[in-house]
Amino acid sequence: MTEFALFTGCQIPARLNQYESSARAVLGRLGVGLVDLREFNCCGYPLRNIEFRVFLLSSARNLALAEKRNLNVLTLCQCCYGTLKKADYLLKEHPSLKEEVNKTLQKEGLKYEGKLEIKHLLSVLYQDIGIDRIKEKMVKNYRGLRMATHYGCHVLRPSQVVGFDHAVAPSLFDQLVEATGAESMDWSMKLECCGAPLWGINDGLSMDLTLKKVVNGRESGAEYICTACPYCHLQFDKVQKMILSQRNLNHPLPPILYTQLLGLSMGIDENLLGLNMNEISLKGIEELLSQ
Amino acid sequence: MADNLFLARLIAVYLPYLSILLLIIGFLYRLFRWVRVKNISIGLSAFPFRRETRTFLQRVRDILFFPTLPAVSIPLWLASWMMHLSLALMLVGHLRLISEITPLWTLLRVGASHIDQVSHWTGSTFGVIFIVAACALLFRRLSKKNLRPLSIFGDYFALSLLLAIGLSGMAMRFWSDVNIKTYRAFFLSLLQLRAVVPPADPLFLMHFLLAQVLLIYLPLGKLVHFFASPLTLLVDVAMKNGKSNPTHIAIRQGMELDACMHCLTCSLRCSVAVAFHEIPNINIFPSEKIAAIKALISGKKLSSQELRHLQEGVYLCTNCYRCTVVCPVGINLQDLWFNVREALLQKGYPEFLVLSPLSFYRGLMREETVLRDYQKPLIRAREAIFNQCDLMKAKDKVLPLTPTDKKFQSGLNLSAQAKNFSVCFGCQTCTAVCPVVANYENPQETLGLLPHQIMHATGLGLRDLAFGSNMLWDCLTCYQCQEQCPQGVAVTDVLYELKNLAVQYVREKRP
Repeated sequence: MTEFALFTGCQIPARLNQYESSARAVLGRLGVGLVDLREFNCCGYPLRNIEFRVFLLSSARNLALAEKRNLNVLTLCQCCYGTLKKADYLLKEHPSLKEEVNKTLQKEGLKYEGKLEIKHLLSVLYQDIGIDRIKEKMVKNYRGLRMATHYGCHVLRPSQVVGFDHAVAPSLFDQLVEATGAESMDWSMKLECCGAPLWGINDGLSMDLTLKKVVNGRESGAEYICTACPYCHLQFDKVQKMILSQRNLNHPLPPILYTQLLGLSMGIDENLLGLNMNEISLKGIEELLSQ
Repeated sequence: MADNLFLARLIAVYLPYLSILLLIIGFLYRLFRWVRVKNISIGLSAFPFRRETRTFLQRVRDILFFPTLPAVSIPLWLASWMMHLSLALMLVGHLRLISEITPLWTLLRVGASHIDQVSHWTGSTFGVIFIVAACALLFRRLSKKNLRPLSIFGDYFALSLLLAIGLSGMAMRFWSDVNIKTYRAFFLSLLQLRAVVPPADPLFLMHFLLAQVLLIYLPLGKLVHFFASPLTLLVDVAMKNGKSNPTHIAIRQGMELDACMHCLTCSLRCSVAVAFHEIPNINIFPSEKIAAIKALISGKKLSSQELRHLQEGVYLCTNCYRCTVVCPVGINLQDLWFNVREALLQKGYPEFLVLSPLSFYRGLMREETVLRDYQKPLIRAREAIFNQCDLMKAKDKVLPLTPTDKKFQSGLNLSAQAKNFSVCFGCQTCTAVCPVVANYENPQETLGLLPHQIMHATGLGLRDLAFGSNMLWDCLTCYQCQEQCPQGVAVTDVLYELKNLAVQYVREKRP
């Protein structure tokens, strides 16, 4: 059995409980063991703009904690993933940074050595488990569900650092979505940013970018948008809801977390998947499931 | 001999009345402070109360068993729970000084002849447990590396006082000849305001004096928690999510601050506490924010430096709710931070952290902040940076290419991730693929320099142009530019780097 240290980050436990509960349920069915390290701290992502050194130390501390237990890290968030990967990359490239960081970590009896692997949920599903095994656990298939698959920037780029999938023509997430029987649409803005990094900093600009993606996704024929990152998801859920009331948008593109999408086809209880915790209603999606 | 008698009468006959009076005044002062919270300038009342509501029974369980603590540390839970339990039992035992607690003895089926013996043994057992627990809590603060710097005089004073009372009580059990009837007669006379000669046992006088010090101290220091914590937890039951009267919310928040025991559980679980290694601002720790906010509420005038430190501390928070979830006395820290944050941001000191994804939560909560000016802190932070960039203001003039700032160029390898801006050959691919640039018809008007121009300005050492452009703060960090650069320039990382340097530069210029 594969075991990972589950890195939930800060957004999920506070604002997106349904992601954690659905991920645990799905991974449980697939036989992935999750270990909780309650000493984990913020990955450092929000501090990269202004406090580079805090970012580096935060990431390194998390990695050192996982290393101490001899575990690889599984993140549910693209931004945590990109940030931990970036720190890992920098610390490996620059021994002087590593030395400095370790000097601080030493005060807590920790040491970063760079021996662990950092994985996003999607790559664990695709690589460690594989689509065939996922299909075995599914009890129902979607029919006629047109999905806009949204990768999220920080798993794809910079490709030199993240190594998740092909940065320009990725297919990993599309394949996972299609494994459930849904059709992953071809849409021109698939790889664009959701707008979340600027939410709270420049709301007008952030809304513009979200709106463009929603409209583009709709135009491609998609009825829902599939996410695998708390920032992207909250942006398409809570922020899209604000856009609906403030801007000219008639039909929303309701976001569904990949773990919710997959969980439904595995026959996992709706409450455990937290479908009703999404702010934009997902009503009707179960009706597209057939045996 | 006469001197000793005088001292004994002073401690045991006159002082108790003063102690009780001071205790009452102290509590009235606390109540007054809770009610007054809504009127103070920090304005704690703007934010609706928001947390899953708990039932009365759940709250009673919270008060009796401290259920959040075992997840943090089982020894901590055991020590504090044992301390509270033994303290409660010993208080019940002390009721015997006034009247025999017959109903209890009947309930426990203790015959009249055994009362003294049973009382002695249970009292001694829990006395020892109390002393051990208090020592464990003292040891915890002294031995844990990450707790010691945060523990303050008040923490040690309260624990030492309780410990001293416990020790002097135990000493009486073993060395004094305590005749319960004599003592009962004395305390009854004290209650009936008939001054009589107290028992002339020095150990008793010491124990009684320390107990009175505790009474006087109770409403003044952190031990007021014994009263404020259960009250906070119970009041919680009556609060309705988002619907309660703002005045009631404010009073509850005043109460919450007094409920804090400075147990440091929140700081141990804080998601960003690690930042303290790099940023020596103690207000990063939740427990210390509470202390600073307490000072603010009690009317203390904080200097502008202290206010800015507190502002940075409350902003350097990912709003992960961990502190609120683990708080054993049910303080809604998250809401408190939100309120204080908004109040401080309106005071006018620029906070550069608002230009980071830490603002994501504030954005989600923007509808809660409409009463105040949501945009102002964002504009102020950008302006504070822009104002330090003189070249940005000289719009129509030809910019001097010399002297370029050589120090600036060499200063750009802070993170060793952004050194390669100089190989940019100006093809503008970065700008062409930038979704932010694409969002505007006339991007330069809104954004200032565009990505390729920033690379170029950085290469020329034109610091002001690189720092002063809105483009920096409107960068999504989506890495499209960096991915597609034919020269392999780490465009996004250079922008990250410039943001760090710009804030550093402005902070140095306006201390």
